[in-house]
Amino acid sequence: MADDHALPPAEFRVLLALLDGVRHGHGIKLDVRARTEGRIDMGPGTLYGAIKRLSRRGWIEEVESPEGEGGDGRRRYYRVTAEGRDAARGEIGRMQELLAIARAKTAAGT
Amino acid sequence: MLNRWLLRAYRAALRILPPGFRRAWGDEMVREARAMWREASAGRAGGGRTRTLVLLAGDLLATAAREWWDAAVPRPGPGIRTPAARPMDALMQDLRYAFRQIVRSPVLSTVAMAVLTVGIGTNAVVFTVLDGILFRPPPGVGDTDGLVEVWSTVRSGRGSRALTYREFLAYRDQDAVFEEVAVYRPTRVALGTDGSPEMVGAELASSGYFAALDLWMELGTGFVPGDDRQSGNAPHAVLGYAFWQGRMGGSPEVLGRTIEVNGRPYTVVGVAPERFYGAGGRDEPVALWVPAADHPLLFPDEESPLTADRRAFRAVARLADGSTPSRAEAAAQNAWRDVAGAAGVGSPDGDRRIRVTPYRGIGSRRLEDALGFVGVIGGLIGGLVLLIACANVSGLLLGRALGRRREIGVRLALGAGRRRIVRQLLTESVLLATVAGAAGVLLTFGALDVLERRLFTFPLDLAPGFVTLALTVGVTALTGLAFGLTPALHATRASVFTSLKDDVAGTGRRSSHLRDGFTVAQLALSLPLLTAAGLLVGQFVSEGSRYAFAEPEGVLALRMELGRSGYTADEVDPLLSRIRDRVAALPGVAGAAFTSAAPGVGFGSDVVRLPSAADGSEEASGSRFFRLAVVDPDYFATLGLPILRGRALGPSDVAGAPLVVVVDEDVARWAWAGEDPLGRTLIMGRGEDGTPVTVVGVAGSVLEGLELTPETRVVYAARRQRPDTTSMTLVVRAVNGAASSLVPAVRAELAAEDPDLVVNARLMTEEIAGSSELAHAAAGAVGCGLIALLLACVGLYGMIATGVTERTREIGVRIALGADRARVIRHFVRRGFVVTLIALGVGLPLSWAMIPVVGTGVIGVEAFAPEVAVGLGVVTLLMVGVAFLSSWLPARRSSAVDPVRALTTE
Repeated sequence: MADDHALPPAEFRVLLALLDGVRHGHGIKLDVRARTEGRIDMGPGTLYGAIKRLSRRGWIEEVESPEGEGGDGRRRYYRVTAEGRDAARGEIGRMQELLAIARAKTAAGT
Repeated sequence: MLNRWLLRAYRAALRILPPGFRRAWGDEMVREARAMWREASAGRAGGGRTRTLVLLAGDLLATAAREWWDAAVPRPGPGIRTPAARPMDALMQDLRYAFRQIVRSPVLSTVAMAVLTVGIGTNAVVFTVLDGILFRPPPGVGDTDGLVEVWSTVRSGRGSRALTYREFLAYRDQDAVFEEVAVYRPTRVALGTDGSPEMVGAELASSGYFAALDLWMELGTGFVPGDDRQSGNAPHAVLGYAFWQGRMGGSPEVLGRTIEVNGRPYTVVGVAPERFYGAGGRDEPVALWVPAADHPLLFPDEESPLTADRRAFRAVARLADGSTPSRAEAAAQNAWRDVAGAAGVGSPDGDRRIRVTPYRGIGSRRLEDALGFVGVIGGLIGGLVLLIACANVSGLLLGRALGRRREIGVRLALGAGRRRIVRQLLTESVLLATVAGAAGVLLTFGALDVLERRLFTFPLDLAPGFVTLALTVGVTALTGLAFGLTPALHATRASVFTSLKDDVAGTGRRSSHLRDGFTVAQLALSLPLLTAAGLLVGQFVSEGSRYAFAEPEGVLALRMELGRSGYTADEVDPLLSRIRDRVAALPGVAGAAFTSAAPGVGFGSDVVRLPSAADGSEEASGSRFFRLAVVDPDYFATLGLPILRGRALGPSDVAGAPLVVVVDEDVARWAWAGEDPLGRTLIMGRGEDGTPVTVVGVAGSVLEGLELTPETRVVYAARRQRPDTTSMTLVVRAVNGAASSLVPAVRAELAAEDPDLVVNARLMTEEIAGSSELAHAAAGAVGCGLIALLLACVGLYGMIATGVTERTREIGVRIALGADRARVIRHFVRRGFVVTLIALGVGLPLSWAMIPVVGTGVIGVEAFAPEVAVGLGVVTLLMVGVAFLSSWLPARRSSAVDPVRALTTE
């Protein structure tokens, strides 16, 4: 039941960044920057605000810093939860639906 | 290094974020910022660093905004994505919580709500009364939309606002802008129904009068077009409601009946609405309306206001559909120019401007004087009462919030924003205020109902209207915020929770001082209010007993205008004697006497003065002048005024005998304090050629207690020694108090003597009541003063008591540690006294300052009268007593509790 209220972009990007693994905050920001080719560079407030809201929704959760990764003990690591995956899937599906409509219209009209 | 300072600055800047967010993510954010900065520094030239700075700043601001909003409007928990009705959810949550809190402490909540109800209700009443006086047309008028007054002004400011009849006719023709124009002029006529005419208030009115005002006639209709022309036989007249009820029995048969107006027959075609006192806003009912065009017929000896260029009429009009006052003004101005040109009016009137403004019916001059009183006192009282209520409830709520500080501390520590908690506490107080406001509105309806009938002798439209309700809602909201804000802010200050475990130390010094501040404010504000009310209470305790003569209920007053009835001065004296003898001989009459001035009936302009003021300069204050009443010798006995010294006036005091007077005790006290007034000389009349008279007696004063005005110092002269007074009142005392039953018999005697004699008969009590509209207004002030007293006492008790109860634990500890119970109690009682004394120290000087304002400004009290000091003393004692009780009783109770239980009390 995809409803029509979009997830704010910052949160969505953070969610996406965590889909393929555990990351700390800075790592999330780097991932987002890399995948957008440097366009999106989240400031600290935006980043952690998004993290806060996603945690509150229960879509991501904080985890122990993983060992053996040179994990910085002081940093806080996050990973996506099952609900988070569902939500991400739902959001992607919504976007695909919108995209399909857009394509159909632009192909026909122009 | 720059980096370190910048980082420090960034960390400091994080303070603009909500504390919860900052605590949770602040370190991360600083770390992130440092990483960004390092990256920018290591990379390219300065452009990167500047960009980073800007980015960080912008990000911080945006985040602050978002997080504060988020703290205020919490999002729902896991997994739920709801539409953005979130603000409403938060509000509902707050309301439910607030409701629970209120219900949990029922006594405090009830007290707080009651106090607020009174405060808000009082204000609503004051608003409505002011609205009724200032903005509303009088009762009985129908649709007020488009109802206007037409008047004129000259630039110099002098000159009458009234219109001439010729102008009126010109404006009435402007039917593009005016649907109807009407003029009116107050007058007095002799109105008779089957004989026995009496003088009544009347209005000359043009034919469109009733249509313009859209009056809801009680019976019949008003004038119709065509009533303007003088018809030969029995032209139309409209009766006033009060007259119709009183003198014609309120019978519907009155339509079509013939009445005599100044001796001429008129046909009754309608009865005006109840409580319509005429368009001119008079303070006594208009008994009759007659067509303005009939003036020459009714008053053949007077100059007619119709033909001359006399500005004799006031005008009301109804705007035509689609017209506006400014357009009407323009049209009228053009019409005026034609009129002025046609009449060849010269330049003095040339710059006259015609104005059209919305109609305000309350225009009587006496009211404008009273308006200052009502407006100032009313506003003052309303505001003070509300302030007191707010201070009271603030204090109560502060106490409760402090009592919940552990709960608040826990919530703050868990990350709830301070804003959030403040908002919740505010919701509580606004909820309290809302309930109180609703109750206050009900109270207002009831109070206005009573006031409408009792407060003013002239009718006001006091139906609560939209204005009242809107203002009440506004006042309610403001009140809720005002008295909720301080406690809420104070109770959530971080420094209140130095440690959640640390309860025993008590609430902290600053909280106590704040609460004491509220107490002081409340008391200090209450005292001036009580003083003002007390001054007025001293006067108006009961209507009749103000007057020192016995049983005013059993006395009739019949006013006669002898000059109007065509008597010459020579004929008056024997006529009056004959009348008096006839009436005195009637069965049921204990006594009868003539006087030129009776209680409630005004005085003439004759004065008597002390000889030392004979230097010709008229002292403006008039304090050396006394009023003169010309009376029959039997007057004192008839009215029941005691003769305190010397003798009354007697049959030997006639023309030719030595001129004597009797003074009342106020005069004696004022003029010759302590010395014997008998044999002293006074001068009758103003200026150089006064007549010396000798004092032969002292009579009891008519007014008791505080004087209403200095005018009531009266000197009595014998009627036969001053025969040129033609406006006399016959005072008749009934044997067994049944004064009104005597009226027909007395009238019959008068008619037998002269059927055309114009007589107004009223009970003395009615006369007294009619002249005391300020008294009525003051009675309202008294009510408010009593309310203030109640509020002050309740508030004082509540605040001090909760303060003590709160420290139950502290008391328990002290006693457990071996403190003497009596000493502990004494400690609290002493604190309560200190607070009260400070409050008195502030409030008493304020009250003292009130005395001249209310006293001399309004009711002519000389300052520092003994009654006032007594009143203040009583109030002070009362306050002190309440302070004592409110400290002692709870302290006693708290210290009687088992110390162990006290220690574990929340």
